[in-house]
Amino acid sequence: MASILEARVTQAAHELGQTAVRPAVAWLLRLGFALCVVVVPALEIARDSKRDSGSAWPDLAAAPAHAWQLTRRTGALAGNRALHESLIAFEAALEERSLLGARARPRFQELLTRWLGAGNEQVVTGRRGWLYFRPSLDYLTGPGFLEPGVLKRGASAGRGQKSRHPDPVPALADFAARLAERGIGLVVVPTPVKAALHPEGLSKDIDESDLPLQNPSLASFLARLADLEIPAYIPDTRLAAAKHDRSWPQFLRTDTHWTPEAVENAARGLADFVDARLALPERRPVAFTRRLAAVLGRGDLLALLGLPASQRLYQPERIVVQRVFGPSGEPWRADPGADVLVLGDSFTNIYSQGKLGFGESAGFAAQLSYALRRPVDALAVNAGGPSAVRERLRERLAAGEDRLAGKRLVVYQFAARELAHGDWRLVGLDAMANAGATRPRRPEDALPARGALVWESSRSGDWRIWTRRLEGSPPRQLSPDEPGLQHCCAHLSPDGSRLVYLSRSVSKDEYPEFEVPGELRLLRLDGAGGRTLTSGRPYGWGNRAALWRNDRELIHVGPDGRTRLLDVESGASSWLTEEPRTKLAWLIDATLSHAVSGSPTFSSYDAAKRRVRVGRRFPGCEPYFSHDGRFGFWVERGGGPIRLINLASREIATLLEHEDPSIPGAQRYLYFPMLSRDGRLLAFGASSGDHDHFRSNYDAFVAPVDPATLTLQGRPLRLTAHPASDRYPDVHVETLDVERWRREAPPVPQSDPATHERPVAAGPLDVRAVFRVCSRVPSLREISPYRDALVVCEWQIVEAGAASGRRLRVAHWGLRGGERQAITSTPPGVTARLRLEPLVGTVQLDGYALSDSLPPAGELPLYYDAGED
Amino acid sequence: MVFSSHLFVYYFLPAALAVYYALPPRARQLWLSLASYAFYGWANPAFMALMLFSTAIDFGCGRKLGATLPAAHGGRRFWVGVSVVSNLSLLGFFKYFNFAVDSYSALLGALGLSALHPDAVLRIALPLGISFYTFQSMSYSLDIYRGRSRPLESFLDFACYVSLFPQLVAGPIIRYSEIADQLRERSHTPEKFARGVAFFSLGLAKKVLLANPCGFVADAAFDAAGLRTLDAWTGVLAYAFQIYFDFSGYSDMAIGLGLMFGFVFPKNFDSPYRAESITDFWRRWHISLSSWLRDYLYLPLGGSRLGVWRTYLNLGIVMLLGGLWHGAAWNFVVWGGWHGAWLALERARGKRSPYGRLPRPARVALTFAGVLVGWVFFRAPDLPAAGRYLAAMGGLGEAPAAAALVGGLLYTPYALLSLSVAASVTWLAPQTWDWTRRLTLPRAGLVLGCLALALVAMASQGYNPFIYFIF
Repeated sequence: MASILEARVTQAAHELGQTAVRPAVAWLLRLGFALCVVVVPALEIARDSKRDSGSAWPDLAAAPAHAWQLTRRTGALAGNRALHESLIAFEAALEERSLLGARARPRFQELLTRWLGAGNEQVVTGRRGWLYFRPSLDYLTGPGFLEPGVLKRGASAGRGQKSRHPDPVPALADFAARLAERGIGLVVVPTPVKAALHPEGLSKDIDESDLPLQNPSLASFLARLADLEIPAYIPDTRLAAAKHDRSWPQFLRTDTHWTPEAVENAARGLADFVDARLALPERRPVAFTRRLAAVLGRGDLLALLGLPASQRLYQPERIVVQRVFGPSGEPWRADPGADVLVLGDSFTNIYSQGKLGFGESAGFAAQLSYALRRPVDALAVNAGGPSAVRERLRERLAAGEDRLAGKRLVVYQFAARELAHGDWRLVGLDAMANAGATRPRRPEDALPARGALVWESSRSGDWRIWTRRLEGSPPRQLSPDEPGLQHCCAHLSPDGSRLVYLSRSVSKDEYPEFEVPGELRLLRLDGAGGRTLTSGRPYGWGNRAALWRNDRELIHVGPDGRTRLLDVESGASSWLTEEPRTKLAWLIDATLSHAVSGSPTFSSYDAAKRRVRVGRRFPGCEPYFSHDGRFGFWVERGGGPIRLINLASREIATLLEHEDPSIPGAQRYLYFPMLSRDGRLLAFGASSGDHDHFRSNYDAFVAPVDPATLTLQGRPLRLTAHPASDRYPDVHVETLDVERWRREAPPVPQSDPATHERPVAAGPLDVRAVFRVCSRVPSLREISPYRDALVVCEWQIVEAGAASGRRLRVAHWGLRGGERQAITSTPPGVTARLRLEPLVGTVQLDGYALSDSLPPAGELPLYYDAGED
Repeated sequence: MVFSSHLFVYYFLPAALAVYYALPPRARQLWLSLASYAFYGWANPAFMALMLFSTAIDFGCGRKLGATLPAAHGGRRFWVGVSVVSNLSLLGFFKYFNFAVDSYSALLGALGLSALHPDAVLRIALPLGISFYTFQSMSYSLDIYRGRSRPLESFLDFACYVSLFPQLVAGPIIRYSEIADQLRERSHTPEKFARGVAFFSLGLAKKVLLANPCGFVADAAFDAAGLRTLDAWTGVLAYAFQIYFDFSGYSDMAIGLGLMFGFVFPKNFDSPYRAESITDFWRRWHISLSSWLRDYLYLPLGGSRLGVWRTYLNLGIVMLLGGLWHGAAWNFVVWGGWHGAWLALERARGKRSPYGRLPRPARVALTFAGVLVGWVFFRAPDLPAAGRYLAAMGGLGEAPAAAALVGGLLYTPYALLSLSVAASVTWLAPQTWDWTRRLTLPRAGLVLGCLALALVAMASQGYNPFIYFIF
């Protein structure tokens, strides 16, 4: 053996001793090698040394310290894991930012594709311009995803791979069970992959009758779902028939996704499936309309192939989408108040999310909404696998945005390839229940406030005035039963001890102005001491019966249409206007400076001349004033928004948006705004989308506002819940704990952080802050085939004032178009001015991958950097 | 970090070389050790501690062995035993624990007893390159025990030997006795460096330009549930080229990097697919492993000195364990058994193949076919999948309609060109070792051209696995 060993060593030494190379050639080789391996990093280092270059080096430099912190806090394993992940991320970023790669890759790929028909790791080139996504092909050609060996391999992490939950059935069963606990049904919609219907780009040997192609385990997967009584709708066969019968392409040639026709067809099929098998509550059909629109888009697979922009091998795709419009002609959009929720991935977002390049308002959810003739809510995430959208739903729940409220059916769409490749983690949906601070409220629950709410309700059959205590009490009827009379327009006195209301001989579904007999009445809040203030034909359009000037004086419209000031104790009165009006009489504010008719004009009022100078009329209705006379507010159009006008500066602001996402639950169709005397609580009514003031299910809500600015300080909370209509609320506040309110319901935007105790808890914010740390930037492979991702970073406010020192987390664009953004290379300590909006409810960001690898800190609010847009 | 990565080629390697040559000779060993630990720790920082532990054990055992008189057999056996047991324990625990648990669980299940739930037991992560460095480290104490080497005085020298990054994670397995003198003293010449550049460049080209495209084809075939016969053969052919160019490319790069740092590593591949028999194949394939198994396992078991049947038994044991060394799964055992059976058969025929009388091209072709069958076990994810694949190669498997899609992946012009070039290099081109013996100007140009093209291709590829990294 020794001789053999020596022979090997000797041979090697001998060989190398005999290298015949002239010194000049040796130098050439060394020089050439040095140039090859030195020029590229030198250029990259020069690039990365510039500020905001998106360099990954700062991440690497910070990694050991971060790992050490974790080691000290949670142990060596966690520290090692963090360091390991940082190293992997750094290397991935280095490769993605490779200068040589950026220069050479497109040209090299074009050569390979043009002359050798080569795709790349993720894109397979087919005949006649078809491109395929490799993981989708693997799903079809690979083994059954439920085979034991496949499941076992999927569950064990290979080198460089994360372990995953490969079996989709437990996750779906768990999801269905959790939805069922809330009375919500689930229908599963695995979306076929391109080659299942269009194999012709890869093989001529597959007969049309063999379509759709499917993974060997699909049948057993469906059988297991059937055993669990989870309905599944598989559009494959319907789409294959459409392809066969009408020769329509069902997929885009250069994109992973289905064509608009296939989307519509699948949506129609699903609507039929739902109608036939799942009972949705009856509701009045919504008259959606559709209009054709031509779109020129560039396929995601073409982008993934990475050819140069000047390439001519593949052309952009010209398609025609059917955009869906609502009854008022507005483009379709997801309706959080709908009772159907579509959870999906990019197959749902395509034709809906404009950034995917193929138009808007024409995606799967829109077409399903059109086919069902009812509003549909949608939440779809493009990247991150099949658990991403459930995670996003959970995040929303945890943030207090209950996207499941009011839902009866969840449609769970995902690409069928995820059955084989996806991570089917169980995702709990009980975040609200577990987080005591954000558990689902019941309307009768106590608010962190003392005071009273009054409103008019039809719950007893007739319109009566009802009340409840803010600190918790069941609703009780306040005004007496009087056959043939309807009560309305309750307004609380400034001290909250009594109220005025109208009692009129009127039908239950009209708002007469002067036409009917009735009385303006005064009543104590305990129900006693009722008496009539005026009688005849009192004015009562909407809630404009009266306005308290102070605890004694009431401003109201007399029977002759003139506005009157009435002392409720003495009965003395005086006229505030001289000119009688038969329509839209003037209601004058408590400071006697402005007046409104039924229209929001907020005209100036001259008390000396008892005359109103009619001002510009804003669109909308339900105008009223803050008690201090500084603001007016009104509903701009059906369902909101609720606008605010500074009566001195005439600046317009928004109190609550139309379908404002800060409103928990599905009732976001706004009406009947009213402000407490001290300006600390806004009361309003909201339905889940129906406008009818007399028959719709409006409930009463209240929300804390900053009395100085009338901006929201916390999320609205619902105070009544009854199938009848609860409308025209008015509220009186004795005490109010805004901090507790915020804890019980997460914050909503507010405009002026400096004036609040917890400025970082709400937005929009415009702050100076110091950058602390950022989450790991996902690699392009992780978000493939997409190229945009948000990363969560932590900042610390450095503004002077109460906000200073507060930490907050902000979602920034980490990747856009595959390029790392400047934030990813921002070193700790950098100061910047940020314009922030709360992330929750920002639907335009719903579809993007969100990387949050920072240590959990639930107490920190999450914003996004609106200044980047 | 793999050699064919942006980080290694453009940052790690230039920095390692620049600092190495900037330092005085005394400090170079330290730098090389630090760089090697950084290289290794990049895969998982915690594994550095494991390697350091293994290094310390063997260095200590070596010192004890050196200090114990040759006549004191008991003491020497004890210390070599400590070294062998500790290395095999590390290897056994980290590489075979999961396999043992899974096999035990499967056995219980087969017997109708309740199997262990995979989540209920510890799952062990396999440290990178542990199969290689434990064998290297063991060879140190074994060589001292046998009196073939003297123990090193410097822990740093020994740490440098064990961790030497050019060959740390995928070989070749360098025995201590092969490199002991170089650890103490080695030369650095322009010729050596130039040849190192040539080895590295050609190895990188093998890896990036041939192994990766072939691997893409092989994956498409081996990941498929059903295959047509031709597709199955194309797939395994592609895999044969992938594993050869992947591993021999890596070995060339390792040898080249070694030369750049002044080390001379012996040859690891000798055109194995030109072998005329399986016996010949194992003289040519992964020579450093086969010779290690021969010298440290086969010969100590008695080799061929204890009779015919014992020889067969020893061959079987060596090949089965060799298979298991490659991977902790039964299909690797079967792969080893397949080769062991062939070796035994040829041993019975005087180290000649059953087809030894056929013309040479036929002998090479039949040997290659036998190797291909073995590669099916090597590549398939498990034994049932290997069985299905072999059935497809034999025209016995069922191919679902979707199997026709696989053809669209296998027979692209790019795939066919890659396979053709790979075949030409395999059977027609000179070996790197021979070709670089004389580096003329045109050859230097070709070397640098290969390097440039490989770097461009490397920057363009997302698919870049290294097969032997998992062993």
